[in-house]
Amino acid sequence: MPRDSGPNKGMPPSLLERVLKTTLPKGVIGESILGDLREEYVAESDASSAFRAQLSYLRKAVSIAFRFSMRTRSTPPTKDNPSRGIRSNMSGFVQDLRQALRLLIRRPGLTFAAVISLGLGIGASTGIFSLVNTILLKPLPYPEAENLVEAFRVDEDVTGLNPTPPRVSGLWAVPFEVHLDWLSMGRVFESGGGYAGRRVSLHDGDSSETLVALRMTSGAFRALRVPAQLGRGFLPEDDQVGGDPVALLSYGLWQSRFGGKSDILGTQLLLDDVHYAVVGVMPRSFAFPNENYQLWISFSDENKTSPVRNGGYLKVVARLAPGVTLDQAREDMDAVSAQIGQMHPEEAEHRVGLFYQKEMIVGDTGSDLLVLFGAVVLVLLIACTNVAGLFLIRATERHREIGVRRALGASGGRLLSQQMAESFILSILGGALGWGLAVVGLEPVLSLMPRELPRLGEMAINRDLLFIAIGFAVLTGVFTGFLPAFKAARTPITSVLREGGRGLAGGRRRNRVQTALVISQIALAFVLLSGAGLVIRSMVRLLRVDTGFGVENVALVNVSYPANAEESTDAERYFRSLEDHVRGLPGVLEVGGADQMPFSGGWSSPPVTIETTEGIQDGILHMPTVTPSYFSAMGIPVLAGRGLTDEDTPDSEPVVVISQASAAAMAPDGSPLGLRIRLNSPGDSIWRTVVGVVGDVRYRLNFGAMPMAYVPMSQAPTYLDNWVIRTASDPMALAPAFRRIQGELDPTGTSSFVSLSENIEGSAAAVSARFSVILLGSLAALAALLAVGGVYGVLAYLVQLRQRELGIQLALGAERKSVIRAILGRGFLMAGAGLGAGLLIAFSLGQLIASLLFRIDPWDPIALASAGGLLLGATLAASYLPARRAAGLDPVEVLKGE
Amino acid sequence: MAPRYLGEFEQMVLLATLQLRDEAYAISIIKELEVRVGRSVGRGTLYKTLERLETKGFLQWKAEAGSPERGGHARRRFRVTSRGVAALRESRDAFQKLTEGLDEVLEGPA
Repeated sequence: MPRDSGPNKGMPPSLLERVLKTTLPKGVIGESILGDLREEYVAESDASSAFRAQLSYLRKAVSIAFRFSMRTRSTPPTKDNPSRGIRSNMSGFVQDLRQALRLLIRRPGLTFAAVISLGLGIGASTGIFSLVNTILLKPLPYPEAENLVEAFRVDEDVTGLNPTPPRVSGLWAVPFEVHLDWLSMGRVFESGGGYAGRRVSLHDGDSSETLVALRMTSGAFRALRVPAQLGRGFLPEDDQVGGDPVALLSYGLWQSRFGGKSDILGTQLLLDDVHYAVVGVMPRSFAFPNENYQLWISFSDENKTSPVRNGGYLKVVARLAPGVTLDQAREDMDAVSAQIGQMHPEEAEHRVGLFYQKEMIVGDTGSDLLVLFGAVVLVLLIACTNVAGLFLIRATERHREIGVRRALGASGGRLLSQQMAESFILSILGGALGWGLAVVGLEPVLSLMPRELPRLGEMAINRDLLFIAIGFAVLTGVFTGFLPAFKAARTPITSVLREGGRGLAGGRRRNRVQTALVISQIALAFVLLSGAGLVIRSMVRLLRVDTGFGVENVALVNVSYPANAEESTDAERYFRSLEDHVRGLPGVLEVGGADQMPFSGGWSSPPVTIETTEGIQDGILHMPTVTPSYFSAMGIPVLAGRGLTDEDTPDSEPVVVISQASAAAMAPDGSPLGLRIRLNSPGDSIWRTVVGVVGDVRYRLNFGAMPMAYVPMSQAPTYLDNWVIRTASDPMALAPAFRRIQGELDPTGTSSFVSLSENIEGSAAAVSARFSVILLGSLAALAALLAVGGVYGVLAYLVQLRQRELGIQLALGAERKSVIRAILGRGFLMAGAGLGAGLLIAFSLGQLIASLLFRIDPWDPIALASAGGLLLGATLAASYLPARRAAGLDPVEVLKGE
Repeated sequence: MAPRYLGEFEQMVLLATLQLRDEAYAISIIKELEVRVGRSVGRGTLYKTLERLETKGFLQWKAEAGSPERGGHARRRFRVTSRGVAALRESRDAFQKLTEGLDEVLEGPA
């Protein structure tokens, strides 16, 4: 709050004043106290500062509120202040709290069970809800972020005409020239520009480091409206071709690489081969487009534009002009597309897709998160039901006491207040425990999160988390307290007094409510368990997917090229000589290379012209460049024709080897051998003949097989980044020998080793599947534990309640076995009813979880049956303990006790 | 009626009210206590004490119209009742009786 200024000068904080007013007596007394405080406030803020006056006001208000809410009940209502009767209720609640505390301390076991139940439920809910809050609900961390949009090029082939945000996210589809047209012709944007990611090497003397950089135009920077913390942001002159390249550092990079030096501005960075001057440092909270980016560099290189208006590589961010809605903007951009179509007929089919930036960033994680959130809400519900059940037991024990108090004139409201006091205390304790668990658990749970989850960097232990925990605690307090409180308040006096000390009839009635609570717990736990079963089965299927290549004993090696390999033909020569050396290492079975690999980095799918048995077609093929031994190193089988060989040279006929999926598309009924494929790129438009068909491979676990065409490196020299080395044993053991050989050929060369199987396990689909399994699995286990505990509680209580009846039965010669059977039967019935209800819920919710599943039906019978079996078994086990206790009753002791 | 002794703070508040004569408002009572005794008083404590003294019949107040700087809220002017004065007198007498002959101790070096 600004000192000595602001609209409130001369006025105490109105919220505080209003709160204080509620604790003060009505009438002149309360009025005059408020007046006194205000008078002093005015004097103090004139004498010192508004801030000091506010502090002083706060201190006095707390002191007064404290004293006046502690008013004793003996204060009689007066003419001046008739509301004293109500106030005495307030202090009555304080008294109730004290009594509740005593009761809770007297039954530590019950209190402990209730607090743990609530704490776990609240903790889990708080954690997951704060994720939902951070990712889905909170605005992006830019001023007026709701006006930020992303623009895409939409066409029928690549995106479909009505794409959804997840469908287009990841498409870097806008050519530079086209984005300039959009911004200059569109009238709905206040500012906007393009950006594109790039890995750069930062050279510093002999050492170099790879950094993740973002090239961005000044328009894009302006649209975000985040000023630099130090120095300046991008200016229009930074976009000029031939201008001085400039860079903005992220806070993290500034701290880690440059020690947070304040004289960093003006420092020259050698990025790849270009000198960039540091002109600014961005604040710590700035993470555009996500927290992986370490620096932002100006878009001044001359080849940023190309006369060819395809080959887009930009994303476009823009800020809507004030008052413009997304629909208006879309209309305007449709008009712009039509205009562009007239100037460039080949672009007549293109449209502009506009989406809110938040939608683009959140993508389809929303539905996954909501499933998880639904799951924790169920757990919380079970925990609440559990505690409500415990209270009902307690209420039964106090049945007589409550009846007597009613008979002596206690109002229903008083009894209600007493019961609510208890749940109030429990929910506060549970909330504190839950908040503690959320704080402690946040870090480990975050480390399990798939890295692809957007906005994770914004997650933090903060005030939001505390408020969320308090919110859940209040909810649970009301939820757990209300049912037992209501029951207590409505206890009929006569029934209690008639029952004498036995408390049987009322107990039975209460028992029905409790049974219903337990049945609903089992039902909810079943829903969670079957959900967990589904994600587990889905993960197993995912990890068992046939990738189309041999996964074991394969190393993926990323190799740098020597600085003097300036031409791609030099790169090829270097590759071949290193390959020969590596092949000679002991344990190496095969060495191959490719510019794009499954489970490693991205891929490009260029538009191509394809000869098919039905004529010539345009299409999109995935076209990696590989060495001849790539197929055998990867274990991809050659199914027809031949693989690539050393005889495929620059001078021989241009060839490709295609995958089965491509073969099926090109020649549905015949052989594709001899058909041709041509890249639609200006630099490379030769026809290549299909000479072989190899097996399909998957680039991601959850993707189908993409149509592929492999081009031999000899006929399309390029820098092959990925080496594939198949070994006889542990592929990682090869690393030292490989580096030694590499060092002999290129002393400054670097290489990174990873095993292919590790890459697959660490892939996004596998990580998020594992995440779902761990999270949903532990929630389900928690739910099952709580529900089974509920069953145990009810049955144990039932046995205690029917002790006398059971004693008589046993005395009259009832068999112990039949007693056990009766109690187990009771447990079985509860479980059965719960499972039945749970099955109905699971069926109706099935569709919701489908987004988390891979090739498995949400109504998969195996998952449902195993969840049901597990829960039934656990319920019976929990029933057995009270049953055995009942059978072990000594009739003489029981009747004596009466 | 059996004598009613006053608590220490109650005595102070009554005495300050008497000292202030026609100017005994809550704020001025507080200032009086601060200035004369050097004692800083919690607001809650003061208002509760005023209330208690009123209930015991030792204090009375009259509402006066509130000025703009009070947001129009009324102001209470306090007056010690004759019962209040009597109670103060009783307390002082008890005090005097109990301190008789203790001058040596009470006025000597602490």
